[in-house]
Amino acid sequence: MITVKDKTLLLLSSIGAAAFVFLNLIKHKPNRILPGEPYSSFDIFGNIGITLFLVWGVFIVISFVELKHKNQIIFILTTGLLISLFWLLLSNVEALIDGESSARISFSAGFYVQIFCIYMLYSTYTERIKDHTYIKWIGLLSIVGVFYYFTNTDAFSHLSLVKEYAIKKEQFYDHLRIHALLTFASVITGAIIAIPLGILAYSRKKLEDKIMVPLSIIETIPTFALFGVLLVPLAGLGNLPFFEQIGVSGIGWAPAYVALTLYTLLPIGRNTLTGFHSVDRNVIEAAAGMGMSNRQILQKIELPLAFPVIFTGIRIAFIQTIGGAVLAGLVGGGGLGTFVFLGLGEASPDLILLGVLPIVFFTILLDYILRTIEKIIGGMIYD
Amino acid sequence: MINIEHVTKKYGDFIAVNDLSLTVESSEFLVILGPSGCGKSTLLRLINKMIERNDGVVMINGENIDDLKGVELRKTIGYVIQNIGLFPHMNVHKNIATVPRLLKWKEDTIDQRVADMLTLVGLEPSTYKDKKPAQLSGGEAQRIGVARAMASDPAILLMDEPFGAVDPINRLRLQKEFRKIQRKLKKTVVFVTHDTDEALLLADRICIMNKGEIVQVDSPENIVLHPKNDFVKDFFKEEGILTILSRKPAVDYAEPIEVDENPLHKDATMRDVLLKMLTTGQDRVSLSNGSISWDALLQIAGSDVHESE
Ligand SMILES: Nc1ncnc2c1ncn2[C@@H]1O[C@H](COP(=O)(O)OP(=O)(O)O)[C@@H](O)[C@H]1O
Ligand SMILES: [Mg+2]
Repeated sequence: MITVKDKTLLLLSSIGAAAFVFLNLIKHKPNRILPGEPYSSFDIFGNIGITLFLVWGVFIVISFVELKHKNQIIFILTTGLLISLFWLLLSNVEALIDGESSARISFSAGFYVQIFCIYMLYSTYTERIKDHTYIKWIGLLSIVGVFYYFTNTDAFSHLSLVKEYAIKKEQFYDHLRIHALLTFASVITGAIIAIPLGILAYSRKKLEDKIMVPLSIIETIPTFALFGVLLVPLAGLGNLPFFEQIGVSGIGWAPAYVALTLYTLLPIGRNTLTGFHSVDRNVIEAAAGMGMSNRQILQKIELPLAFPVIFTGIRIAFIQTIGGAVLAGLVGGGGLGTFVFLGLGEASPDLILLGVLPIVFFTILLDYILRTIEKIIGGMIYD
Repeated sequence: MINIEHVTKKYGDFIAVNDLSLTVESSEFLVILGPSGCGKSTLLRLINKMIERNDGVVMINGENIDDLKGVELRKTIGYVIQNIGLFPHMNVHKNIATVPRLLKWKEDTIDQRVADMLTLVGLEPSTYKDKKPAQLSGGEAQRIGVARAMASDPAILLMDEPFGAVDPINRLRLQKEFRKIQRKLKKTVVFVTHDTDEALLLADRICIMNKGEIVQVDSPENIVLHPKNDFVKDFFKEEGILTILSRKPAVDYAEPIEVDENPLHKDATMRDVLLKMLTTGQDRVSLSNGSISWDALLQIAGSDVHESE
């Protein structure tokens, strides 16, 4: 009897294969405005396309069998698939464009779904590789290398997304900077407020509900409503000389910053409370029994032991805020959301993607970095 | 010396310690023994003001503990809690150095002290000082817990089931070692346990508690041979006498009669003598400084009877 050995692999490779067959890969547009002509994966890749399709097929087969070095094999095949997909795509772009300078290529659902499946496979199986780990680095380096090579090709400049980027280059970096600034400022402010609140909720049992319930309620307020609520007080505040000088008003960065900060309070505050609760009572009892004051117990025992959990809260707040900061674009606060809402207005998917792709990229990157730091901190504290 | 006078502790309506009076002499090893929930830990925590009393007085070396700040008092009393409670984020050195650091000792004095403490509890300082608690076995952790409590050389040690988490073989070794350490350093020890063998092995005096009150305070011999009531009697059963014998070094009772046979080892106890008689059928056992007879053994077990009757 045939049984599924790896459900994740089966699911992802089935979706990838289906996207390959049934969804359009790209659109060829004569210029920015006109609707384009769709092409499927088979249209673009021709006969070689069968080989790519077969890789998806191989994954499906592998999900039914036990295999030695399975994780490594899947990792290598995934890397190969990703590189070939780009390679073949870009080498066919030139022919489609055929020298027309206003023509452009934009990606369609078939491309994004396959990339998504490849990314999921990638992150799942890199985690699982426990020996021959050098493969991870070879894979990563070859992807980075190949991409670097592509960015310098003519074909690359015909991609609609790249064209949008070329036009908006300066704005792009400004908004990226604002986005990063908003995210960091909100999370840091949030941490400065929520950690003491969490500690207070922990040390004064009576205050626990009075603190945690409002934080939970804030989390449920839709962003639009929150902007609305903040409009009047911030506009009022903006009339005072100092706040006027730094640019506080009912719209702009101020409501975005305040709203994003408010949303970070729950994840950080709740994790602070949980972190403190997770400290072994015996350890606190021993510390008190040796003559440590409450303050010393907090500083030397509870805070360091709770810190990994608090840090997890900060990581969650970061991930949530990078995405949430898109909404700053709604109230003129700047950030990558500006492109998203502009793109929505102009019905230009590539402009939307110019905002969304960096957000996805930085979310993944920051998550990875913060998780790594989390592990290092955990290791320093317990090993 | 610790004087506990008419002390009461209530949790709501529940009386955990009821009008209890007890004196612990200097350098005495006093074991508090009783069933789970009878108020042993509560009594211990009343001594170092981890919890406040509802009534009564506690004096330490003639000083009322109400005149002392809890935090200051606790720095002068060693305390080993029921579940050790080593700080998981600190290595062994830092764990042991806790109270000396609070007392602001010099760093090199502390280093020396930590090494001495590790040696005292039978652990090689260079091997252990950098380990984290997670890397220690249960027995090692208990030793560190004891070392940590003694690091600032407190005259008084409060110990709440300190060897509870150790396997039986290591527990016996730890108990014997600790008993030796206590004798050598002349600490005043209040030691809580619910293990009768442990109590009989370690105690100068045993204080039997039930439902927040003292049932009997007496030497181990008297507790076993003259239980005050059925509660105490049921607590020890008949085996108590064996532990009593195991506390008595055989050489102390040797008669100057040479027997032509391999003598028992020097540290043998009267319990070993009894076992030898039972297994070999002999009625006289050879010792390094003479021998001992069955009649003498009976008399030793019974001698306490005559003394107190
Ligand atoms: N903080 C507390 N609140 C309410 N009851 C308590 C508290 N601490 C201990 N008790 C109760 O007091 C009694 C004695 O507890 P304890 O001294 O810990 O017993 P043990 O002899 O096992 O050490 C138990 O019944 C326990 O449930
Ligand atoms: Mg107890």
